[in-house]
Amino acid sequence: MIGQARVEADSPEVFVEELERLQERLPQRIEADPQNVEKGLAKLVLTLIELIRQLLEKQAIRRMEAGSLSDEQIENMGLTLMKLENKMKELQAVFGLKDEDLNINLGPLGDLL
Amino acid sequence: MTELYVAYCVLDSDGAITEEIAGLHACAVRNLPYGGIGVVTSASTRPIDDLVTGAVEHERVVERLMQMHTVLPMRFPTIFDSRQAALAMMERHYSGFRDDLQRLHNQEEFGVRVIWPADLDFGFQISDRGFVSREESAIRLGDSSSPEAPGKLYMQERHRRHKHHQMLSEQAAQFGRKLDAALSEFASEKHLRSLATDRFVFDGVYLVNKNRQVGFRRAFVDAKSSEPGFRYLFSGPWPPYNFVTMPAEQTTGSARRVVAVAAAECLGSVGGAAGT
Repeated sequence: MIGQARVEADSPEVFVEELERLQERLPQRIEADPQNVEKGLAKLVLTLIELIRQLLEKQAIRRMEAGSLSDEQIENMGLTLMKLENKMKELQAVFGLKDEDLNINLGPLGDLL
Repeated sequence: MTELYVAYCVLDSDGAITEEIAGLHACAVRNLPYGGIGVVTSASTRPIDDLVTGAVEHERVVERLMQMHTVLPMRFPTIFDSRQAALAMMERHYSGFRDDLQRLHNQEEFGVRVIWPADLDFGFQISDRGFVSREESAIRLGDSSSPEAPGKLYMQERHRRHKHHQMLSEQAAQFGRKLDAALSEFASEKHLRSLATDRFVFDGVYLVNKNRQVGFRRAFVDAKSSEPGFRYLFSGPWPPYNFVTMPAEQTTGSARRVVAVAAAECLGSVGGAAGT
């Protein structure tokens, strides 16, 4: 309670924990100062690659469900996406980026990922 | 240091604030009149050294004013380097402020958040992204238990995860529709988000007329009792932060420098819900 506003919660500690997780994901800005320009750009580029990776994965899953991929094609697709994910992990480690850093808040449209 | 103007909200009145209300640094707040409305500010000559305390004081001022007026709350910290700058902002957004003050007259904001039941079996470990922790996934990257077809196994795991997420999204949407239908009956406007994080099944803010707030609260209590097990958070009444429509703009000049001293990381937030 601050003024007249009240906050009533069943498990306040659970909401605090979850709001902190949400907060970590929200203020997504590109750090473009001289010290952080590389990391800021890496974050932007890796976020876009992650977006494309997720789109590719969803498209592959749709095609698997539709039965339009042969076993060999599924294997190739899986290997490609696996290697891409591995490479992403490597680059994230190089630039000190966590999974939740790979996102961009689009204001009223919500988060990119 | 020159005197700065810490802004709290736009008010539906150009009259003086009759009650003594202390703002940041215990300075009294004043209404700067402009064309029948006003912007509430307090003077300051030193940096905001404690953002948390400052934000609470800011909120307390806005909530106190909200009891007597229609307010357009400004994001904390919004600072002008002169009275003229504050009034220039009022001039730029005058028409929008007028429209919002009319639309938000007698309205307050409430927040409703819901988390999945504690005993819900997700079947997956929740990670920062998605429902499967990559570390705990059945398929460790580059270390497949099926060397003959690691790609296929990878895709099968992804497919399972995708289906699970889809199922939870559908359940969240179904739950959200039911809860929202009960609350919307008493609300003028709303903003909803489903699965803002994996655990939030519902996240909504509602604009509710003061005359309908008893009904709104009752609708929430009824909806809650009809869906036990979920964990609920209900908050309000708040100033209508999420329903002010004016675009943000950046603070400039010495005001920016003062904020930077204490809160460099908050510079991107300087600019108000009410357009400053």
